[in-house]
Amino acid sequence: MTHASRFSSAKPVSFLGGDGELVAGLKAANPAAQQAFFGRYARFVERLLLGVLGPDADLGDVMQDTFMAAFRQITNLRSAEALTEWLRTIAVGVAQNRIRSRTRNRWLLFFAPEQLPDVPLLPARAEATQALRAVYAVLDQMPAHERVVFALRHIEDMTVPEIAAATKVSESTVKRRLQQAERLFDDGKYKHPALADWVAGMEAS
Amino acid sequence: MTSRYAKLGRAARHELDELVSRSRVSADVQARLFATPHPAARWLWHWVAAASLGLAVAVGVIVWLWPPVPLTFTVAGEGTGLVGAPITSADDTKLLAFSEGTMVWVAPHSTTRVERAQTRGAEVALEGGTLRAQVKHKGDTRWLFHAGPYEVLVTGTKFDLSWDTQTKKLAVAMHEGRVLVQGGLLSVPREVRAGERFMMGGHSQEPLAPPGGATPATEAPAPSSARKFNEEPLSADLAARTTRKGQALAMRTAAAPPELKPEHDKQNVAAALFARADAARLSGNEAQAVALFEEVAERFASDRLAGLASFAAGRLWLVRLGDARAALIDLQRARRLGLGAPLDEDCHARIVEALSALQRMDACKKEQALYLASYPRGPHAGLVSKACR
Repeated sequence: MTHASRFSSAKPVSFLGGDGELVAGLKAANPAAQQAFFGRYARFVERLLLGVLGPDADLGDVMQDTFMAAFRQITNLRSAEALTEWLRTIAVGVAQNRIRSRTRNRWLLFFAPEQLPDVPLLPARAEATQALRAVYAVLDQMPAHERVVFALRHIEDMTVPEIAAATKVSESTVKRRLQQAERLFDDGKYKHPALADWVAGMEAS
Repeated sequence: MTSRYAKLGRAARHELDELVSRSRVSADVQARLFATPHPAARWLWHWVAAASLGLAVAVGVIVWLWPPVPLTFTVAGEGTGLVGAPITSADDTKLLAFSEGTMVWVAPHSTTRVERAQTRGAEVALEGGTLRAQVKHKGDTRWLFHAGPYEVLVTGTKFDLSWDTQTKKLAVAMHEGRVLVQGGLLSVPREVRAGERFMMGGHSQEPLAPPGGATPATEAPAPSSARKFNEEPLSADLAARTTRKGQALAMRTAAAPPELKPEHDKQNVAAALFARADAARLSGNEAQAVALFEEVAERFASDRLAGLASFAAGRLWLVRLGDARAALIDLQRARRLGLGAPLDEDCHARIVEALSALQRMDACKKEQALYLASYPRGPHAGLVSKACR
């Protein structure tokens, strides 16, 4: 990372035009279009991935994989108007793969994932961040499909049709998974006192 | 329930938004995805590439213009060898190691001299005795060995070369590759290939085929003044070598070359030993020949060559070395091991001759009667009938 920063000019390449021109530039593998695309959607993707994965030390890798996949698959995009949804679908897919591989590799770790250092959180909101970490600790115990649906619905505040489009399943499947996820969350939250207190405080307010 | 999740979601989103607002992840990913060489770094790489190219060209020119370096060689235990200086080995084999990988072993009691060292090879003169050469083959290799009036031109091979200064006998035994022998009594160059042995002595030219078809070539027969390769020093019985029998017995104790020892291929080893013995016999080294023939008969008694080897040893003891007792032992063993009909007749006749020489008349007459009963018109019947008197 440091190496890349030292030897990169990192100057944004100007690219004028709307999403139509942007998609055309991406399909032509125009470097300026790729940088402009990243500039416009980096925060959106990062926020989405953070919502699905939680504070993850490898968030940067997942984000990079998302944009690399987008650059590769841009020819599949039919309409520039669907650029945001299309990118969200890719990001959710990459995040879901990340969750699966993390689950598969969990038995290889010497420490449980919750024991590993997370990305630094804000010290001023220690209680909240502790509760946030507890939310994702509960989500970590869920199957990938249920976890993604729960995160998209309740943390990202997406509608069921949007979730169905992003996860490429039917709305009824989304609903079924959401019910299952909520049941698992309710069962798991009592194992984390900070989360239980946080939820109780919100209910009282 | 939904309201509770909505509140939790709002709180989580608030936390996550805070995280993202202070995050540097996007900047780092951008640097990874769109890293371009810094102008200074780009200039540096161009400079390094140009310098490397220039250096490579300079090295190429120097190598091209550099005068070719002739081969050098070292004499084991003595250091760098000198071109033109005689190299004489006393009791041990001396190894000459050339800079391009060629090896020359000089047998005990042999003298050689590197006459000229060039870039592609060298000229080596064998002034007397035996040497073994293993020439490193390259595309333009040119090695020349001088032995008396003969020249052996080598391109890449392993062979033994012997030159007897007294009898003027040349012997070449090929192990690998091929050589061209010319000069001396040869009117035209003679090619010697792997597995062949070539001898020139006096007025005779004796190309020898290995017994029993293609077998590994063996060492060239060592002149009487020089010992063979790989022989252990005969310290235990130096005095015995003053007599022919003692010499033969001493030679029997000498180990065969390591490459002839593997027991997993006894047939090839027996054939190779037999070939060595035959070469020694033809070069006039009867003592060595007897030792090797007897080794074949003893170590490889079940081999088809065992009987023949024992017979050859017995005949040498009887005719050349004048030891009827030793001859009788080998001849009797030859018949026990088995010989073809013509040789069996010959062997039987020589047993009668040996018994007669030993004055063992009873045994002689018994064998005489058996011979005449078996071969009443045999080629040796006349001689046998006159024996035992």
